[in-house]
Amino acid sequence: MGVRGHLKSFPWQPWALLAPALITLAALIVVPLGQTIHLAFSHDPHGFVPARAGMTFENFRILLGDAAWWHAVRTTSLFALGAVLAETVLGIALAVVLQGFGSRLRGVMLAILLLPWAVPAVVAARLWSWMLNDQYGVLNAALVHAGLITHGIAWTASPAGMVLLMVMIDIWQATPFMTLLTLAGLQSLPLEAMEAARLDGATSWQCFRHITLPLLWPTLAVAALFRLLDALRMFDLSSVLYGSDIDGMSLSVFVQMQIVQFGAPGYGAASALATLAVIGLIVALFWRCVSWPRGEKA
Amino acid sequence: MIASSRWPCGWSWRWVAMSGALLQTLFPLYWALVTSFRHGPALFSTVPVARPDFGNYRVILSDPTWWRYAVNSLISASAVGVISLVLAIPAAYALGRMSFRGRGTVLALLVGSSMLPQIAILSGLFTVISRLGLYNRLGSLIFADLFFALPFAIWLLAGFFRDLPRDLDEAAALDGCGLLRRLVTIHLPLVWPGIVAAGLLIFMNCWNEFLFALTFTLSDSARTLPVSVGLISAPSRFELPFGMIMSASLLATLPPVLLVLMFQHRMTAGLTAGAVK
Repeated sequence: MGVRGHLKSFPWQPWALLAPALITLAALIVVPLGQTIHLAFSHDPHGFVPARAGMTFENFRILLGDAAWWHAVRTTSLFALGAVLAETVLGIALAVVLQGFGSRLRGVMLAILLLPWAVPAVVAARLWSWMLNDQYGVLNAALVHAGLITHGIAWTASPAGMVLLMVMIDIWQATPFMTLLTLAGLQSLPLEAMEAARLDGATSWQCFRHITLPLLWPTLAVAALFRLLDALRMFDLSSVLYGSDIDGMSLSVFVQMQIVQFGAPGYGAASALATLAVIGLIVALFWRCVSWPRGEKA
Repeated sequence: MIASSRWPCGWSWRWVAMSGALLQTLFPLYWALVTSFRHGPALFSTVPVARPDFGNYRVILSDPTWWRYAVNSLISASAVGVISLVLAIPAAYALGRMSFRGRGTVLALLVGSSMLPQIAILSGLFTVISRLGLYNRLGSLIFADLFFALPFAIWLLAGFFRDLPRDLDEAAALDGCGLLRRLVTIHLPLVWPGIVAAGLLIFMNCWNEFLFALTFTLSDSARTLPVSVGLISAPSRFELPFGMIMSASLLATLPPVLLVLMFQHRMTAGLTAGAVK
């Protein structure tokens, strides 16, 4: 208690320590975010015609009728939900498998599994698009060799295929992250409950389903939430794989293109704010879905 | 452990599942390596082995612009790591070890800001950076990357500071040890693992960062490696230099991969601590 009293008489101390970081963050977040909001309600210059002054909802009105935007909304949400769901399931499975190995072997395997997570997403996109190249890709060659197909498949010829490729690359890169967090969660679980259930004759699956999974759920939900936030702002894969192709464009690519390539900061800012709203909506829905079963079991 | 001791066949399915996972993990990297040894018509061979031929690597490594990109990546990632740690350590100390009004608000704001996507501030940041005269300079990248590095560092280190025993402060205060001396001589050595983890994770994230690096740099002088790998394109539609792309890709991947192999325990400890706390 002595420390608290001592500190309370000097309330400037924590703020002095916080000040440099908070001022930097204000310059980085508050100012640009304010600027973005201001730009979103401003007119854009058109060619040699300078921007008109005054506030406007024009940007948002155009955005609502922009087919490319709605396509990006669909691409991004399909990608994010598909990737996070697959990564969570695979992450749990891998963590359970890893837990069965001795600790030294587990460490070595974890180090190998983590490698794709360290690879720049740009490089991952390059690697996978080369492997899945319709003419010279090794995957098509293997499938032809195995007699499963007669000629190479153009994997990214359809919008669905384009999203699927991004999901696959993301699974390659982000599953280790989910595995790691699940493993940490598994190791912090109380062993007594499982021992007791085992003595009562519960099968492995029953133990997992009724003891491990509910206890692990809060950790998993938070980990999946962070993955979802990350996946919803995905830029690298879409940009490197598909450039400015509308069929494979993510929301982040859409916004960045408006700002950089089309020189429309106002329209870009409006689409950035709308992206925030889409992300907020999906995350809120997701959180409702994952919180519900936990409340039920507790 | 329990499951495997009960199931006599437990080992075999574990090994099958693990082999599948390891194969899926390593094959893309292996295939990139095989491709990077090839050029010309050999590129289109799908034989899964190739004699090591470092021709592509020699071409890239003898190109000074490529070295420029590598140095740019190194400078910006290290600078972001150092600056964010210098700013984050005092802030994390305050948040982790002091009780004061507004602490909860600051923590909530930090979490909130780490949830913001980069594009939310992109158009505003573009104007700020142009006005600061940083556009197309390495400084723009270092400044922009703090956006995700700083909240992460503060959050991670605040957890490490918080977990130190309380008696530490009381004993030090009784000895008449001032705040700064306490922080530097007593706490810093104890949170060293957290500092290393935060520094390494930030370095890796900045090395791999693409959106800001693509947006705020225009010319070779400030371009980073991932951007250059992302922008390699075909001289003509029928002549994609895949051997070259794969060599450049692997070279750009080497530093983060080496970091993970060398510091796996420190980095994973930081990751799990950051997510669980």
